[in-house]
Amino acid sequence: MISTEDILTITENVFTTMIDSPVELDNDESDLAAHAPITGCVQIAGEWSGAVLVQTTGDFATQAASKMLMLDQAEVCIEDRQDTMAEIANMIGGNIKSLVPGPSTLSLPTVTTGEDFDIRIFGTTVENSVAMTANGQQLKVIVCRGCE
Amino acid sequence: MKVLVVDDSGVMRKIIVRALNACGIKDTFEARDGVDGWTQFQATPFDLVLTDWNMPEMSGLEFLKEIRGSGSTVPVIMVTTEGEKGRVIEAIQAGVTDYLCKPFEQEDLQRKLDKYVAV
Repeated sequence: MISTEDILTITENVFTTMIDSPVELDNDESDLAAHAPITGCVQIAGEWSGAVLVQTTGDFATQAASKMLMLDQAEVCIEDRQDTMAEIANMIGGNIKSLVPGPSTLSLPTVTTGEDFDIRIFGTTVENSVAMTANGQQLKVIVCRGCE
Repeated sequence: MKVLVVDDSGVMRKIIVRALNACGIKDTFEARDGVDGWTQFQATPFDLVLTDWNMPEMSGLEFLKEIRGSGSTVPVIMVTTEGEKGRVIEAIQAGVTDYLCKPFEQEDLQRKLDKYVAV
């Protein structure tokens, strides 16, 4: 079981290191759908199989891309946001992979943008879902584990 | 000094190239995956290679093995989320010169580069 504390620690490490943005746990589980959400996802296959999804608002993805690429927020395009979320999902997923039994491999990331969508990773169930905030924006990390 | 940066993430390539530029290295080349990297490597005598591990077409590990298989001793730094001991050992056995786990502070990357960059 990947604990909430592990997810928070890894997420905080990625966000403070890469974009200097502290992360806090948040009890607000309200729907991100109203905030032009963007979701990065990586899958883990091997001794432990599952997936890690990182979901946040379009605004926060823009802020993150702006900081990582050193661009004004107005200069950030959709590809920049997608590339940034892919790399963030890769880093969070890769660090979670180091906590689960190996050997296992990490997939290339996928990114989904838009409104009113659901993502289902077949053959998995949600093991933990942690709602957080960063720079006042909603952020959620979901760990799905393959059904045994 | 010619440096090749291989990563499927445009964001990571930009971060690494920015750090190289800060070291005074302007002669940087970028590749999106191991195949592209290997093609460029065969065509240009590079002094330093930084590569990701997980990439489409050809992984960083396979790319590293191609480099060492060619007899090249060019320094290769693996910049990756693959931080488990087993993976690091795998990379060392394949001939990696140095290893940097993501996420990293700008200063961590700078320190690695300082070891290999001679302007």
